[in-house]
Amino acid sequence: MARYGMVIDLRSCVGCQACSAACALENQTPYWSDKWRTKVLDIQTGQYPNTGRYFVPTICMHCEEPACMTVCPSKATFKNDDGFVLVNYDTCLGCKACMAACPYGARYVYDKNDVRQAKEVYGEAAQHTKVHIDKCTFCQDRIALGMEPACVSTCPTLSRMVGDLDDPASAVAKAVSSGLAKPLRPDLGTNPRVYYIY
Amino acid sequence: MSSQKERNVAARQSTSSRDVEWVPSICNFCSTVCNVRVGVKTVNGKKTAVKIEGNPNSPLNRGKTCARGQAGLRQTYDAQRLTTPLIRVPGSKRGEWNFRPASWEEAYGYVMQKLQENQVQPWEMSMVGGWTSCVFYMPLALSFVFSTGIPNIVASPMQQCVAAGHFGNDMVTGNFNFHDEVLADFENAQYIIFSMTNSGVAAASTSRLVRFAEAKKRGAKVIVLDPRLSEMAAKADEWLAIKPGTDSAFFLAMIHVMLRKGLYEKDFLIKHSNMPFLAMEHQGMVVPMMETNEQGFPTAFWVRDQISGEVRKLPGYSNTNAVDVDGKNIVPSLEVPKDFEFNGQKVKTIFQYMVEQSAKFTPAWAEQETSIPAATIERIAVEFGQTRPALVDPGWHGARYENILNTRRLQSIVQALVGGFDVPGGWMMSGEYREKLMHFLQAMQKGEQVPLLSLPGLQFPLTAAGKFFDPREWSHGHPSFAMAKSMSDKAEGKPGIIFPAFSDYGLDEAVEGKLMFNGEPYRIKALIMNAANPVRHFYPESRWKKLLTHPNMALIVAIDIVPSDTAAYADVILPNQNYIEREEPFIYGAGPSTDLAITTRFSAVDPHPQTKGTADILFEFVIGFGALDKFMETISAFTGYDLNDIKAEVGKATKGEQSFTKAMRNVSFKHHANNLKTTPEKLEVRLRKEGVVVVEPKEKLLEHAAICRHLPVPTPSGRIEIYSLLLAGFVQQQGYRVNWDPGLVYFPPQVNQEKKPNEFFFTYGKVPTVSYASTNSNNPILMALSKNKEDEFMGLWINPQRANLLNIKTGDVVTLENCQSGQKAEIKAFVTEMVRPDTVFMSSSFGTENPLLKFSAGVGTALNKIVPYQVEPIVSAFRSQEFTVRVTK
Ligand code: SF4
Ligand code: SF4
Ligand code: SF4
Repeated sequence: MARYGMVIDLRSCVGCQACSAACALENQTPYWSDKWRTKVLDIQTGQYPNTGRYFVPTICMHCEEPACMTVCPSKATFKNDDGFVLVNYDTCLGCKACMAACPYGARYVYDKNDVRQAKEVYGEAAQHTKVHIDKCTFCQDRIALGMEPACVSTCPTLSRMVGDLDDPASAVAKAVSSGLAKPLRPDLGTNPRVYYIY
Repeated sequence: MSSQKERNVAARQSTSSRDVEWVPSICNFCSTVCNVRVGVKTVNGKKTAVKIEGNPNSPLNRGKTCARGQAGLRQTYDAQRLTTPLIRVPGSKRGEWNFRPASWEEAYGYVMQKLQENQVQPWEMSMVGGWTSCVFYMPLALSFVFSTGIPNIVASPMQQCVAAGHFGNDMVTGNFNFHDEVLADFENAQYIIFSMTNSGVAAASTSRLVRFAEAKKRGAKVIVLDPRLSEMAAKADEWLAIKPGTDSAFFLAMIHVMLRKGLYEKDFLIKHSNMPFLAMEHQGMVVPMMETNEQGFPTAFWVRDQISGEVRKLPGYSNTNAVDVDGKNIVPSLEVPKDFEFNGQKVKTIFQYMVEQSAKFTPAWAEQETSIPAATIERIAVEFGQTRPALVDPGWHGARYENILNTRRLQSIVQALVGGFDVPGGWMMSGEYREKLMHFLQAMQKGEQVPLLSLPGLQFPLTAAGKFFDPREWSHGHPSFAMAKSMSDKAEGKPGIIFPAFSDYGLDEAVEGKLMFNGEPYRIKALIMNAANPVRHFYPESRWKKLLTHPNMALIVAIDIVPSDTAAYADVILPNQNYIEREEPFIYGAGPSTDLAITTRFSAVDPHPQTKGTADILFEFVIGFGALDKFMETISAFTGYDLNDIKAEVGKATKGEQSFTKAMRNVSFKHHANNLKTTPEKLEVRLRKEGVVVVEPKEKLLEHAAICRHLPVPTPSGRIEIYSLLLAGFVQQQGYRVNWDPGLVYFPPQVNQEKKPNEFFFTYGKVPTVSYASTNSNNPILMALSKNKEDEFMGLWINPQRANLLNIKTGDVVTLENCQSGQKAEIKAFVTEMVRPDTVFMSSSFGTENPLLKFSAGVGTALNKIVPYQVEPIVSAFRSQEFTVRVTK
């Protein structure tokens, strides 16, 4: 079975937010409350004229050791066969323990207002009908259909790549094994499946 | 391993793209014209668009889209969509949203009645077009005005962008529109320089981004000239915060260094440019030795052959200087000996004159102008000159300064010095452009005419706009009002505008009845606006609000999709189908794709029943004006479509058997199927499946249809013109002015900044989540993305060095005042290290006003509140940054 991972290349990301838009449309996330599964940070450093500007897309890291999962009292957070960390929207209590535990700030509450708005905007096609804690699913539904995640598929700079980390021939595995792509905060022992080139 | 229950949970968590049918279309949110596919499924009993993806078959955007491309489908479901014709309620004022619903018959009847009541003559009308009219409806828009006798089209973004910047590049390379005809091959370039552009790549043109990203991943060196740290500049290895408006000084210094150090492709310049042409000095001007025909086109040039040492004659129009008029192979010299004489005249080569003219443009001089250290300029010139492939991005967005044409022209000259046209890592011409060039050359050999819309490159705007300028082209003897205004300027001893193509120059006077032509007032009494939003997109907004509300204005018709700020000023609003609803009346070339490819849109979801496609609306008008036959003949003449086919299909439409859009679509499919030796049915099946059909790939085209190597370009001489014959022609017609100096020249931006701490240079630019190209900014997803970067995207960028002095903090509302015109606007400050201390920056495309635009109204500040009406004299491009501003808290 493939062990999917993602590599985000900060050298080429231009901060266009196509990924955020694609995700919002694909997964009906509550853009109306400024909540996103993937956000692009715009980080500015230094003093003129030695100013730097960096675009850093953030996303759930789909950790091998997910802190969010261990703390979930209702076992609503689980890993599927592909190793994607998912939330069972039906059994999620909305207690936010996972949000506190996640070191990457990847989760948010899909609250009552959001559910109401989703119904208004998407009608019977609404994907989210219950209050729950929401997060990136690695577009596991698209993966199952043999498609790339929405954010990856649209990224105009090919800054987001997915592939099988266990397949040495895949671009993501190569980027990781060569040391070009590195996880964020490896010190936390979360063992993320999302790597960054920077 | 997860449990079965968990597997079931995961399987229930679906995404929008599950079980959709994908329908091919073309994004409508910028002139990159990405190929997309629209995912549709039945929701609440209705076929609904739920997702857009880039079309993976696209040679342009390669399956990708930007945020606008993603979010675009929400336009279809905007709660304020215009879904029925609207007529202004009697007694209400333009600008007020006070309309009553009407039927189409009523709306057309109202229009005809108003035109009659006010005795509006054809020349007293003007079309106002947005970019879609240009890109998708050019055949219909041009045929419409020529068959109805309306000599006026005001189109954006001509003065705002296309006419200005592109024309500068075009004079060197002969092509016309950089959005349509050139894709810079970033993928293969090793060294890339960007100047005055954020919109063109990073913010965001997907077809460029997919290529630029490869350059970044490969580690190509990237230099960005920009007074602020834009998205583009953030990707630079070196961000050079150049003083606004002085980029041309930077390029002149590069040329100075490259010419002196021999850092140019000698062979290319000898063979394909006019650098080796012999020229002489006449009244202080450099003039090439040439012969011309009655129309003024060159028929011969002379060069000195290195091998024989003799002067040889070259054909007037050719791609190469390696063969003389007698068919002999020669190698022209770039330099002739001192005191070389020809026909009793002292002559030098254009190259030698360029070396002389560039003498004063030293890096030290450029440092004074640009504030970039001389050593940096020198180093970059050397690095650029020594690296291959090296590339100067052609740049998007002209306007801004009077010197913009010159700046873009100099960028092209730098590109020419490294021979970077139609070679890997250089500027790659579009497949469509090559095809037009090839047809044009064949027709020229046979002495045949080419349909207007098939004219290659620069010849199209020169010919098309030329018709608007020539009173003899119109039975009523009136040129466009902009040309009439320019003629009256000249009569008064003012410079006027040489080429006011699709311009609003003089419109206010025409509306007020003050513009005179042949001793009579030349009035504009009616406007038909198609996908245009001049209240937001022209400068300044006060000019347009005034002329739209002027009592002399008898009728304003707006064709639009959502209630734009401008639609509020209309008398009649005609609701339009949007891009995912409509079928296109034509098959198009695939934008700037370097492969020769064709594409079109398919209707993905049913349009609102009361909306219509633009083709249908124009046909109804034409029928109302009694000009249907002439319209069909003109379409045929301009496009080369078979007139009998047009008549047959349109005949069915007049009987109500099909829409006019469908009629034209059938004609277009038949035409293209014939060319491709297939049937319309088969072509339709293939396009529906693939979205884009590649007719001939780039690799094949480059073997026989590369510009310079195989094909002459549409400049007057067919060569890459370092010395511009077109500008030389302007000198002949108009007398000398620095703006149209055909050689190397510098003129600084006309901004005198007082040394007061609250006075700044003004700059603006684009962010990736807004579209200047659509009248619809009311997209909830794009607005949400913009708002989470409110400071960067909607704020006035001001450096802390000055902000501290002025006690301004991020989020403070400040007053921005134009120091020259006195225009004022309020805007929130964004205090940032990302901008030069003497410069402020704001984004365009915010600050809409129509309260019906629920998501965008009142968000941010509109650029055209602060930009005055000032235009340059060649194409009336807006000098939209040529002023300073005062910032007060
Ligand atoms: S779509 Fe790609 S380039 Fe754009 S912000 Fe996201 S990761 Fe960066
Ligand atoms: S993988 Fe899917 S759910 Fe996760 S951020 Fe990307 S688009 Fe959103
Ligand atoms: S680059 Fe332009 S055409 Fe392409 S997806 Fe974005 S808005 Fe649409």
